[in-house]
Amino acid sequence: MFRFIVRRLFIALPLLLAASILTFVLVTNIGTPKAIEDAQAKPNASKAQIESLRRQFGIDKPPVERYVDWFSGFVRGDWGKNQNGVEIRPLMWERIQVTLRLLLAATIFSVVLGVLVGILAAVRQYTAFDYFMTFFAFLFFSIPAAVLAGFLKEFGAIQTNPWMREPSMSTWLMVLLLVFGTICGYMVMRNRYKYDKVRPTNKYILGAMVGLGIAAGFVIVFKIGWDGNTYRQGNPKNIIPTVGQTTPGFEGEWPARMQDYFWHMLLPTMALVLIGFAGYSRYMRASMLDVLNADYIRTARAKGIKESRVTVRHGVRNALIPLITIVALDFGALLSGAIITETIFGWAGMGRFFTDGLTAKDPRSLLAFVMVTAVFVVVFNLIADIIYAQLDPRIRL
Amino acid sequence: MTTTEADEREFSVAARSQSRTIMRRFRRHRPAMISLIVLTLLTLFVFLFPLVWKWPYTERDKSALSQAPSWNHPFGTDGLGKDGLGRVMRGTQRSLEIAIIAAFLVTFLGVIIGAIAGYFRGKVDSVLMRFTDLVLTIPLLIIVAVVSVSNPGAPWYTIPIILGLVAWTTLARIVRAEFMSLREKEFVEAARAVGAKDSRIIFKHILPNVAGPIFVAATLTIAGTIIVETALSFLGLGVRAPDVSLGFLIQDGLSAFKTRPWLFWFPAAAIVLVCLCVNFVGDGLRDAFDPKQNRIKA
Repeated sequence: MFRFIVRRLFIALPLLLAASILTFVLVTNIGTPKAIEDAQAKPNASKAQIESLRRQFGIDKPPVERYVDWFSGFVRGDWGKNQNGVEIRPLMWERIQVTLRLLLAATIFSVVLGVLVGILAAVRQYTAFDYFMTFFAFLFFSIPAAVLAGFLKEFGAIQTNPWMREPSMSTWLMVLLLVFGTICGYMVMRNRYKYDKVRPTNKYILGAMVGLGIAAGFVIVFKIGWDGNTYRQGNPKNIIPTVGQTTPGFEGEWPARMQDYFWHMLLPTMALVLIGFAGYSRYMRASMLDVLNADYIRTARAKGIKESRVTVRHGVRNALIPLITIVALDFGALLSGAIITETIFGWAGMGRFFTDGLTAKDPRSLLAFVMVTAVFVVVFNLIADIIYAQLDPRIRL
Repeated sequence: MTTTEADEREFSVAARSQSRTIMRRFRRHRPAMISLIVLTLLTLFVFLFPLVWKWPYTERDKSALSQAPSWNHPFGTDGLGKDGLGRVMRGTQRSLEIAIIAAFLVTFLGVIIGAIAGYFRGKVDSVLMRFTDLVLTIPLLIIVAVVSVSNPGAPWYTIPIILGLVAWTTLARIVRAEFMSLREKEFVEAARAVGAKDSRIIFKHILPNVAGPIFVAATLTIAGTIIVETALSFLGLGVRAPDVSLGFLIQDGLSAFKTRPWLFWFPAAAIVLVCLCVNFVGDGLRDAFDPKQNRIKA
């Protein structure tokens, strides 16, 4: 195990070195920083001023020397200052925390959801559920992040906020909810005993009661919990915010702060989850179908193991293995989605860091950003390789 | 009655060729067929209808600024009085062109690099694959955005070219894996035994067997490119005014969602429709090429 990790690290290090060269070549060709362009446009710009600006942006030396300077600085942790004269490393660290919160939440939810839906779609292949989920997966696969995030912002926040401010539930809606819960409970139970010769009426009644109970609980929580909510009362703003990752200057106890995080994260996470889950559910379905057709599944069934145990123990465990690589490889796409989503929801995360650097054409910010992304990609792939090797005994360490 | 060879036998069996089988399977894939028809009609519409439509995408109707959809302007107008329908048609043209150029380039590079790496193995393979790993370390959108900023004022076709030069990695890996397993098969050995050259073995013997994954990946690249182009345009780095693409229009529409929602809805619908159709066609191709598939379901 240890030797395997060391060997992988020996592959990863030259890769990172090559990535740093690629990064440098890409960023060096970006042209004159915006600030210098502006200075040059002024009629009274002196040569000395522009020279000092060039030195400030670190582009006054020949490329090779600059690369050595930058790379040695980067390794030592001295990443220089950005276009506004702010130290890049602490700024970057701050932004990474914000974006990682989003990425982590989005990954966890989309993987869990994608795996569950993928398993169900594979087990119930060619049923209405399968078709329905296939269609949804393709739909979300086909929606660009900008469109989805813009849509969620408009309909998830701007148009629902007036209702959230003064939430009300008419008696009609309450009755409807209770009836809906009862029917759901009944249906679940009916499905379970569909093929039994004797229909257990008391189980149906039990199911219906449980459904009714859940619906009633929801209504009661809504009535009491929402009306007495301190976060909403202490916060004069809209409930579902459309700008920023936290309420600026918001002070409060930890439950209130958690709610603040939660509401800010809700829509951006949802946008990323919907896009990510679509892909994962397709992969999981394909991988699960492959596994379910394998010989060892037939053997397991032939031994007389319960179908649920065959699916979970023999099927899901093995079907999950290929998904790990896909999740790790997806980091780049997820980050791209996060850049767009953050821009739409006005988060000050990595996305803002990148777009600011691009607008200012600041070489140091961009170098730091691209390099940090590359490190993340390499590290995630390394972790995926290690987990993969751990789970799949056919892979030699 | 003329006698053919088949008639002389007591029964006739027409062998169905591989390509006919695949065509047949694809035709029975209902969503894929519907998508293909919709996609064809849509393409014809966006390329032909602008020739007769009264509002070119650049012309301003100064009597109708920011107008909601009407008979005169079915997709409304923007703040300068430019016709929504004209712009959406033009944007779809551009997006499709970008996607197709990128897809061709991706397919070409991916197949060549993957085939060489997978067929020759050894040093060539490890050099090419390390190079692939290197390109994969930096997310696609970030490379394209940085290169796009470096070349301000570049014509629109630089975008698909850059995209193509970066996005071939996935296809190369797929093709390589296929080549690595196929090169050990008996038919390759037989071809080599009769003295076929490497290039002949690669292109005539192995490549046709990899056609399935390549077609599927190429199709999916079209949808993927349209989505990346949207992201790029959203960051203001896609095609530049006065030219438009679907991503450009969406970025435009999002900036004034409150007052002119129709400027967002129509291009968004166009993008989703195109990508959805392309993805379904890709799915149909995947099923059609899948040798394990013997049961065709819609």
